Amino acid sequence: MVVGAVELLPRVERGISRDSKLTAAERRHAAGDRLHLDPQPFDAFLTRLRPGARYAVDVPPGARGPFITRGAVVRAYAAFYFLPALQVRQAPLVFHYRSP
Amino acid sequence: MRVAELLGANALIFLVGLGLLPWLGVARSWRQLAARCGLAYLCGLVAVGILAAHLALVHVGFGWAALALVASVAAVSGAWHLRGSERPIWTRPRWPALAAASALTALLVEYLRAFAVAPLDRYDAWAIWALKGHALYAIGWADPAVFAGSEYRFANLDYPLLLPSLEAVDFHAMGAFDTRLLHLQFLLLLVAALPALGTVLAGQVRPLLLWALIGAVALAPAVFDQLLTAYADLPLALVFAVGVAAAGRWLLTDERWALAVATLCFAGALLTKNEATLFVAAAFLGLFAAAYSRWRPLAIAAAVDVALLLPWRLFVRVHGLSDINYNLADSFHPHKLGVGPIAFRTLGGQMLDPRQWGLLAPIFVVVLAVAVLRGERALAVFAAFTVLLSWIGLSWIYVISHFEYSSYLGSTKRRVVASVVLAAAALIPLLVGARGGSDERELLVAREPGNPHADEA
Repeated sequence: MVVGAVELLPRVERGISRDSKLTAAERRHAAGDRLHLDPQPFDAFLTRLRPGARYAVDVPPGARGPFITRGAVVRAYAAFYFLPALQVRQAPLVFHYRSP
Repeated sequence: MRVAELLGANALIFLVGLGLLPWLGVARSWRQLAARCGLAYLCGLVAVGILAAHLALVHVGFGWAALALVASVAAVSGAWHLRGSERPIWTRPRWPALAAASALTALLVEYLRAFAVAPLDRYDAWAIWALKGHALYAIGWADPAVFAGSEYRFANLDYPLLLPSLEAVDFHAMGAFDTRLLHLQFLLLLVAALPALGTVLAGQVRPLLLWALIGAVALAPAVFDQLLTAYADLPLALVFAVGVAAAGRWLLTDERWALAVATLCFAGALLTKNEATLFVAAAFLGLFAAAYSRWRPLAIAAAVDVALLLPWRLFVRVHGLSDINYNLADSFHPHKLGVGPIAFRTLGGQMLDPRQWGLLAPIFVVVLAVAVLRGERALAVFAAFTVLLSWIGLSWIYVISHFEYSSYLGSTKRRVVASVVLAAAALIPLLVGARGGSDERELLVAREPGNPHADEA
């Protein structure tokens, strides 16, 4: 218990003081910011979507990380960010993303 | 307002669990219900999670109305079950217990401040769990367009739906996909698990030891850190650990309610993450090895767990979903055998790391050794099987993984050991305070007609 308290409690306080300062926009884009994605194209495309709409993603594969490519990361984040619109392989509505 | 709605939904979940306790045999009177109500919240979370996850497969959403209906049915039927039984008697709590409970509450309030402001920014949290929770909430069911869609394969579609279903219940309750308040549900899982652990072990171990365990788990840095990521590993570990503690109690006392709780928790674990199949299989092997003469109730418990997992496995089979990280079939032609010992050592190092888990793992090893030396066979065999087989099985995953092992091991080693460490920790008080080596003989005596404790067993 002592080990835990000494190690943990200061870290809890640091986390509170850091995260409590986040704005609504920073919170909304927290996952994308961590991946260094540009939030602007995502927000712009989001305004064109309605729930259940089908869209495709156009993004170059990019560099390969330990598990997936940069392009796959963008596709995954788009799938998360644009829900409840549905990502499909091909659709008239296309989200284009190019890394900054 | 959303916080109140989230807490309201969780109050109904607690009610579901409370109504379930008489059906599980945990409470056979109002007095026992009061004494063991610490199990209610976790049982409610697991039961609601399982129910919502299964209903999602057949196009049935689980919002306020369903939750209120299930809570009403559970509460009324539970009360009917207990009609005419002994009423609770108020006893003044002892001051050490009050002091410990106050300290624990203060700690959880401190955690609450952190969970209330945490951003949803960790990859698996949004790409797997929150995405599915959001989809269940927004679409209303496990629509194959998402849950079997080729564009969503990155989201580990073969992982079961208990956790996303609980998240969806919260989103329904709040009326919004709130990525901030979502974290509170993870803290509430800890709030549910700690009293559940205390209730399962109460009466079998010294109160001081029990509070020490609860404090050590609550203060383990990895418990806080991993819950805050909103990953499924720690929720799985908490549910599995309570199941292991209940199974350990059943080994010692043969109380059917303890096995019922273990069965429910194991089902909850199985429907939380795929790795749980390994952990639960290890636990059942340990139980069969430790109590082979009681194979019938064990076989029934195992069958119930398989039956509860079956609908999800059918969904996975029908939609041709597979694990994107590894394939168990590769076990028959492993070409990275050298990775096994490396993974085994690395995971062992993680479990022993005091900056993550305090001294839980070393203490477990010591008390297990002492239990073996004292001849306490049944519990020691169960503990050793559960921990060792889980550890070996986890190591094997890195042998058969599609990924380059060092990256995969490096990114997952901290969290995958959570279930093993917490299961081991949950058994520490029982191992310390376990009865003598003649468990089987004692039970046979306890079951003899005329024994005043026979009904309890």
